[in-house]
Amino acid sequence: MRAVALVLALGAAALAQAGVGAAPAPAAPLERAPDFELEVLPLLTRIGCNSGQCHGAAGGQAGFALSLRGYDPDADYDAIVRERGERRVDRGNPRASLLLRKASMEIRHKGGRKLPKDGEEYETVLRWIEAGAARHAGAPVSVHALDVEPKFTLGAVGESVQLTVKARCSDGSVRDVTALALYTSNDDAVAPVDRSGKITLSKAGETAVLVKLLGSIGSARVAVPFGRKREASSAANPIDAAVESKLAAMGIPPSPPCDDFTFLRRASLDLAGRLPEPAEVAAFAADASAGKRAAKVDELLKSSEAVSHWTRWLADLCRVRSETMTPDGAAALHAYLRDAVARRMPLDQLVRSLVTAVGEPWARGPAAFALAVRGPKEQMEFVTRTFLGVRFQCAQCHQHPFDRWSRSDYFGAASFFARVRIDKGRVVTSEFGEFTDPKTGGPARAQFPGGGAAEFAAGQDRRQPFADWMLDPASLRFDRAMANRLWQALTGRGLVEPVDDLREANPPTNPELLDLLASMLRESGRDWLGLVATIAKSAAYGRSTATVPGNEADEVYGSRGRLRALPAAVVVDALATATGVRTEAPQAPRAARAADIPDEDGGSYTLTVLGRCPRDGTADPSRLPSPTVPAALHWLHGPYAGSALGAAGTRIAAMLARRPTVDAAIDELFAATWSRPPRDAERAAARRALGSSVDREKLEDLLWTLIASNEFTLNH
Amino acid sequence: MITRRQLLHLGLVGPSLAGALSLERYFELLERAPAAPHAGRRPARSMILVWLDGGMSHVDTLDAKPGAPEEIKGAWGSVATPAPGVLYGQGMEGLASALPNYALIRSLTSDAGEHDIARHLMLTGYPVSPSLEHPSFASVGASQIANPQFPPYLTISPQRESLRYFGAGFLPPEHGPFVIDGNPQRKEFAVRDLAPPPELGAARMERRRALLETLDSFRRTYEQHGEVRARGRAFERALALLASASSREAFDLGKESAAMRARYGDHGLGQSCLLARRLVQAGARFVTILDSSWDTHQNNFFELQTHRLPKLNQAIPVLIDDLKQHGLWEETLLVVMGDFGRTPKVNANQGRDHWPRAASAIVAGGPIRAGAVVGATDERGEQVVERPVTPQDLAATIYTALGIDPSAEMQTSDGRPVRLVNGGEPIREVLA
Repeated sequence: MRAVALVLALGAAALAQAGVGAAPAPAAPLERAPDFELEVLPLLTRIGCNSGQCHGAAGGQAGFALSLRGYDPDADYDAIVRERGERRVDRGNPRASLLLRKASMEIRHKGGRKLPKDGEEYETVLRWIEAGAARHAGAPVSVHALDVEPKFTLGAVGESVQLTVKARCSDGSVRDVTALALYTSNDDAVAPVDRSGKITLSKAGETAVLVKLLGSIGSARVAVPFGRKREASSAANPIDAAVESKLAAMGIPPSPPCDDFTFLRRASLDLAGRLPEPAEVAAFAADASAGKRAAKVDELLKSSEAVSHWTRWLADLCRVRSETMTPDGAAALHAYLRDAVARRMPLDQLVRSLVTAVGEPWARGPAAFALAVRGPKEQMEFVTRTFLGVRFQCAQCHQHPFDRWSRSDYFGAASFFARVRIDKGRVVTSEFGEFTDPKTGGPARAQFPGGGAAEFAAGQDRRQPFADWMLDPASLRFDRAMANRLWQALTGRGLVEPVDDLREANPPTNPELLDLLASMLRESGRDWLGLVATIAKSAAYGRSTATVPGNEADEVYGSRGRLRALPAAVVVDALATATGVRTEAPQAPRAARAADIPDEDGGSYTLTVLGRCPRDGTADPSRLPSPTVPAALHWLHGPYAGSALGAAGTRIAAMLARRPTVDAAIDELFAATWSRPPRDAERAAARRALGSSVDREKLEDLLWTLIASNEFTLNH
Repeated sequence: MITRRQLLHLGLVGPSLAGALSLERYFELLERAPAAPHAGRRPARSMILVWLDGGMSHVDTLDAKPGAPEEIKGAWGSVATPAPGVLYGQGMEGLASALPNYALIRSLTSDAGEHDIARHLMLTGYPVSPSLEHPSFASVGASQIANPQFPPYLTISPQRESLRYFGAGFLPPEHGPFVIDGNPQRKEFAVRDLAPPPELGAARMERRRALLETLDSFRRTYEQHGEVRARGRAFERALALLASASSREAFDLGKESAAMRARYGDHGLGQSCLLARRLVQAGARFVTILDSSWDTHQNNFFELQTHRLPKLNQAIPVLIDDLKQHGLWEETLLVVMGDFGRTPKVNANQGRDHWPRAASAIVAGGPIRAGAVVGATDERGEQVVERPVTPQDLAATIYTALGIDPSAEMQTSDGRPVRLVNGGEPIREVLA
């Protein structure tokens, strides 16, 4: 039953030409010869012949190599029809073709029986060979783009939606290829999809279905609300309007705002990488003015700690390290980034200066950026991944499996970097140097990804037009990628995750919000810290981490604050503020705070064991550290565990000198660590622990307990 | 009846007797040597990997070419092994006489001639890929262990920075190694944060623990949260480690006799091997030792003669013997390998450069067929002429020996299915 439906669809697929100038449908569709590119190759793809584990592997399988999932029909045609003395396809005796005999297991085939002999798929391939196994059934037609409908479906569990996929073809026609395309769901738990493109909504949540036909790609989003859809309430901040509109559509109630103590702690850590001092905690609580949160955001962002914090954030992104940049180069780039943050240099100006820098890294900081990764191709990958959120790497060796990039796109983009050289440590551009286009064998032409070819003036640094394209305000590509990273830095989760993988089939959880943030970044003249302030002033940023009935399952729409780990440098600096114990000084004489260490190799073991971002590209700088056993041992026995907590120069030593009452001591330690006063039960427990008088050892025990807790080490 | 132990003695009698055996006869003897009950059938439980960082010169060590011209062998001599026709370089006497205990592979071959690329290939079984960092064998193995009471995977290395590709790759970071950095030979060597600060007595620790229990209501509020759970798990594992005296003492080489420490050798490699044995004994499943300075572009012969070979030839045979003495040999897989081989032709600096086309390695213990010799290179040591073994084959062998199906699939974080090994076949000649 199903096979019959399929063959009808196959026949219809090639015929359903809806475009201008479409040929009239022949009367007897089944007699028509199937087209290699539009029918046979998609069929072989659907049954898995050219998957990465079979003949689509680099080097193929058992001497038979196809392009991964059929992205290169010309090469595949040669491999199937011309190689091996034409034994794979035998026009004289079609049924004896190796292609059919192997795939039907008539003779041994390691891949198993892929084309049962009584099946319609077998018939299609057979008919193609019988008709002469031509490259094209008629005039050559290839697929340019896929249109998937419906683009977005909001439905209830149990409902299903049938996708329709239309191919826009090179001859101007539009063909229904629903039966030929490959479908994969990003989340099978929410919305599994079957071979025919029918999606079943199975669980509350949201996901995308990726649609592929040879080298072309499309997608559809589906969502299942968590609760009953409600009317969106109004919001003053446009960010809140966008968040609320999504929450209302998904039927998720928001949590209430967090209390002032929590807000101060969260904002201080997120915006300035530091903990508030006890006096600041008290002052903020006592402040009765309505706009105090917004004022605090501005104040925090103006602080010198904020400059250090965002410099460290940029240094992680730019992989500032001595090993690749030399110590002087790393220091110079770090100083340059710091200055750019302090002066609030527009982000596009900063990125352009990094991407196009020439000269001595040790004298001119931005030039060190070109040393962050080795080689021009790698530079292109690094720049596009970091600042555009595009992962080109896959396309160096084969068509990107989840994106639209081909190898030509890859080498076209790499060409912009082909003439960058490192000469005696200096970054220079040369007059010569090209990559080879793997398809033509000739020099790769510089070509903007997904766009047109580039023209260069004589002697022009090719990276200049690339930067123009990258930062072009007319497209939001740079703004989207950076706004997403900033949203992630403040809320713990990007609207697109991973933050460096923006592509059609990995859509944002809230596309309207991402577009809004991106336009805000653009309209502000790329004042990125201005966007940080706007986000931090939104109600969405200031929500409690506690759930309310109905938003327990929401991890992505911003209905509540998000519990998350802190970057290692922030923890180390928070420990220094809370305890007065500094572990950074001996190893990094230039930096009293961990946030100011220019180089990832500098600093203490504490920083390493707490999981600082390795700047060698092995980790995504947006990934927060995970708990490890050595880190737990460090909390239990490390430099913050013993009598160092009460030694000279520490908070405890200063407290003891003031001879505080037991309650005053408890208040100060809670404020210094948890940024809030103790609750009654906590005060009682702390009193029991301290006894009637304040002594050093007991204070050390209480302080250790407070910093070893989840409430201290997590951002909440 | 000839036992394995007798065969070992046979080997130890000396090269003359071994030389009198035909290769056929040698293998016949091996076949007839009865194994201990279940030995050679059960997969290994643990694995010790001695990583010869930088790449060992195969023609000076496990694959000597005494008949090669001067430009290849230099002034380097050779020694016989119990296996007829199998010759080692000078200074390799210790490993030569121990050959009946392990399987020798002399035909490893790849095209990865750069350290990072070769490391990734050898340690994960996958060519380096710009889009995906694969997990090391050890991290894959560690990820299979549900409730480890002892850290399942540890590395012993002088420097933390040199551990790229020994980690969890695309698996969750908690499957990465517990890093022991520093040189276990040094007097001051201690695993960090294992011992409490001296001023913290048990009573004080207990007070703190109780107070934390009372105060950390945050943990109870958010006990279902991923971050809180992961942190709780790490603390539980750390506390389990600290709670067991035998676990803590596993890290303390001071618990070994001076004689035992001397047997392994007063050097970083020897003491690291001893530490590895203690860790496996305590429940570690994977221990990787990083032995550096094998990248002998200059003064290859001097470096080998004075440093690398004496230490290697002392430590490895003692480790084998000691694992046997402790009843761990049948359940422990031992692998000795490095980045690649080195250019058979000596360069202008009396050094040898990178040579991935031919390399040698040792696999032993667990279900590995002791005494097996696999593959050969040509008379110049340049090309593999018999039974080529790819790093993927070696990876499949290692997984098989550990009882892990090499064709099993893992999932990357974005849902991509990845086989443990792609395109390799276990080397059946070394699997008993």
